[in-house]
Amino acid sequence: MRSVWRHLEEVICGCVFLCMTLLGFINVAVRNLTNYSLASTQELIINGMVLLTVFGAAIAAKKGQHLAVTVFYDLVPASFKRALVVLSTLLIIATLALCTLFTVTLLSHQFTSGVVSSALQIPQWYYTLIVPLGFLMLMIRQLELAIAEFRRPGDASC
Amino acid sequence: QAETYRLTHNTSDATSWQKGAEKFNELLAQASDGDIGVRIFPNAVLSGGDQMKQSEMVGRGDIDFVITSAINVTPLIPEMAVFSLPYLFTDYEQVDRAIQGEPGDAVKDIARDKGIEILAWGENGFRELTNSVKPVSSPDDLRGMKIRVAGPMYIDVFDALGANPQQIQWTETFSALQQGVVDGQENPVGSIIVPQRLYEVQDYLTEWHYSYDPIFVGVSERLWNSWDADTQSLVRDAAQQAMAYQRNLAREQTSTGVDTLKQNGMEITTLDEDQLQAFRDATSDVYDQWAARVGEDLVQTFEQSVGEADSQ
Amino acid sequence: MLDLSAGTQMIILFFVLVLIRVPVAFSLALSAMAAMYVMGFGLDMVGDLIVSGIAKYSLLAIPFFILAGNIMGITGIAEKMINFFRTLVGGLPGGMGLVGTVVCLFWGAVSGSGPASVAAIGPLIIRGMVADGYSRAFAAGLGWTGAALSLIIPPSIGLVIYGILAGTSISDLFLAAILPGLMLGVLMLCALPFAKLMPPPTAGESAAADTSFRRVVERGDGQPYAKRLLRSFREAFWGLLTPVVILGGIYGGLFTPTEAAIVATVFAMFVGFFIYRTLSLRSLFACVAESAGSSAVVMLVVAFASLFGWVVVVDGLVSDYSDALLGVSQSPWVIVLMMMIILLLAGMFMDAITIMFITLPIFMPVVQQLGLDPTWFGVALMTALSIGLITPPVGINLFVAANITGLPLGRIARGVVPFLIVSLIGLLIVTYVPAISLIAL
Ligand code: NA
Ligand code: NA
Repeated sequence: MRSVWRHLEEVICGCVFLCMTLLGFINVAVRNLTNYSLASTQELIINGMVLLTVFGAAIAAKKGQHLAVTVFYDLVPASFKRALVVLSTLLIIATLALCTLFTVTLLSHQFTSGVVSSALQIPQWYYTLIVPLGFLMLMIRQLELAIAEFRRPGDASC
Repeated sequence: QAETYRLTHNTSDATSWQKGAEKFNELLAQASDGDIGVRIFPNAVLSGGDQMKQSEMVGRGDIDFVITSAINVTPLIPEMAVFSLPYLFTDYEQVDRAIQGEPGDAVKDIARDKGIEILAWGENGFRELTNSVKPVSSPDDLRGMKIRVAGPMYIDVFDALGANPQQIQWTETFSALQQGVVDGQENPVGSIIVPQRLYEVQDYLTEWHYSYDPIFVGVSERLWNSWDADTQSLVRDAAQQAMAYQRNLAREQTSTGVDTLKQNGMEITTLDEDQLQAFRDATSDVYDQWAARVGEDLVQTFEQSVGEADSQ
Repeated sequence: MLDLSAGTQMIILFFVLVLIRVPVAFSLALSAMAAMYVMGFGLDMVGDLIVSGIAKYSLLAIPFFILAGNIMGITGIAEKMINFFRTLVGGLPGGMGLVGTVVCLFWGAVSGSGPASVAAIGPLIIRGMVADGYSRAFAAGLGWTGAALSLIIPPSIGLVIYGILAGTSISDLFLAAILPGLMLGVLMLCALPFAKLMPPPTAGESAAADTSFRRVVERGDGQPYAKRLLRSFREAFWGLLTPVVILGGIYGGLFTPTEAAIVATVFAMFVGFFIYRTLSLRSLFACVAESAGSSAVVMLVVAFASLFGWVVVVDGLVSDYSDALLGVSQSPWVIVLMMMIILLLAGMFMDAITIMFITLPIFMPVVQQLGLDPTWFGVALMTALSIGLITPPVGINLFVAANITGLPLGRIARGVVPFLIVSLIGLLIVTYVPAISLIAL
């Protein structure tokens, strides 16, 4: 159970990424080899990428891989580092909370207005749902990272 | 005190859409003694480049005004697909009668429920076919041809014609046509084929008038309801004059555009009544299928108006 | 308080946030949202803008080129390619330095992403060079500079994104970038003599590198040249075929540059599973998940940069800054030089894709106004941004280098200096001799 939770994003992203690759390749093959078209499936690949972005960001967060400028952080003493970790984590969490809130708002608007996707004509909110869920996941991973860094400032991210 | 609203539209700042938007701003300022104006944002920048999202955002009141084409609103208002049903319209007379009349008003009522007040109709134009393989004058000529299309209904249409429809992002379309990833595409002459220089990579144009695409000026219902009756009529008048101006400009660009295409070496195919009928027959199932989705009543209103135009 | 526009305040806030180590993506998002609030926009739009910022078909090139690069990295294509070029030209003056440069050029035509190339070919090239008597810092400098060529030589994620943002043909950009990429490779060779200025490795270091290098690439050393060459060619054949598949497919009309990234991924899987048999389902899955993480790092920046870019456009900063740039001088060449310097300075702190999202809305109107060719400008811009991958204090390639070699950043930075100098010369040539880019069109 614990290990499923640890690697949840990896499993989700791995499966989706592989399916996107396959679907994209089949699309190219079918276009060039047959007189049949899978044009509408492009939408699935694009929204797969949206999923990769938010859930993949959680994978990167676990390893502290998000691009950051550490020049200043590296210069200051450990106690100061702790303060920076707390401050930056609060700001990150605030950002993600806002992003979650606004994408949930978007979700509810789309649910109410009944807007459909442009190619497959399925309710757009099916796709949008991915985004706030991903942000929540990312928020959890950022918190876990911050706790680790706070305990051992300087080397938790490697 | 002067109020500047935000207006978003799909296209670049060199199109008749932009000219129409500028005219709208000019007329608003004139009529309101400078009290009301719009700041124009081209290329759908206000919705992050997403043309489909603009109308959603106007419907919610996040953006004030929008100029967009019916095709781009169908995800939000499926009934908008009625205009582009294959071979519904054959000429401008039918178009004007229906869209400026009662059928157009029926669509306005539907849009109002989604939070958009449609002020006036303009024109993107009839969508024509270009390709780099051979002149197309019958569905047989299209067989197996890879055509880049703009939406789900067009996929069905081209499937029915035996072609191989593809969805390719507009930014990649030019190079896809150049390299032969796709053989052709369909778009209005005046607003896309000429200004986007598609004649550099395409050799044949078929004027088959297979689908019509109107544009409109819409304002968020929330903003609209906040105005008194005088302001409302002032804004509506300005929009209607601006779109009349845009429509004339678009038609002029289309007729001079065909000459430009000829000068640049494209072969133009026009179709006689029998040839058109062959395309109509091949796509009639798709027509019925999409008419059912749009709603038979609305489609009948349009068909009736088209019939009246013909009988005069 | 100064009377600054919301957009300018946003930019200041962004830099403050970045400085206190808030990751770039979140700094972009938070400063943009603050600015939107100040400007009086309903923040409801944020949701739309975030989603439309990522849900773009052409951005698919990012995850797929990263995935393709990583899969090729674990299939062993890189080792076989290095062995082939080592057999072919390893005996010439320059030895492994020459081999390393040629491999970087060739790998550039396989991979679309700079950092993915670093991981795939960097460590091997360094070990080979150290075994050959090159200083570790110098070897690292060559490896990371060479890996940055992947951003210029087609296919390139950077050029795909430039094409989208600037509205220029991506396949034209790919064609235009070939010659400048090759020229930069030749210039790198000119830096090889500078190796003499750096302390050679100790005998122990050299021997250790030699052992670990030979463990992966030595194939029948000591046999006759022709036989070794044929054998190494046969082994490297499928790797050498990759650029032919990618570029041939694009220019042969089989697929778009975005689809090329997907085809490259499938091709790498095919080679790994069926030809080299180095790939297992398990290792593939791990690689895919890992690639999802590293592409998400880029994609998240792209998503939030679209929010940031939105404010820059809507606030009117674009025209302010564009006008300011145009006011600098009457000469287009001075203005272009200014833009290149801005890109280099930005490259010291940020990654290539973020920089494009922030600067292109301002630069493209200037390019248009001056009547410059956007395809050539894209190639010049990409050259400047690839230099940013290796400049301290923040160079992604440098970081990975420090991580792999265990050398302190300062020493690696010293090893990069000769390559930095020749790269800057290359940038000047690409910028002021547009014909090098445009002759291919
Ligand atoms: Na490359
Ligand atoms: Na840098």
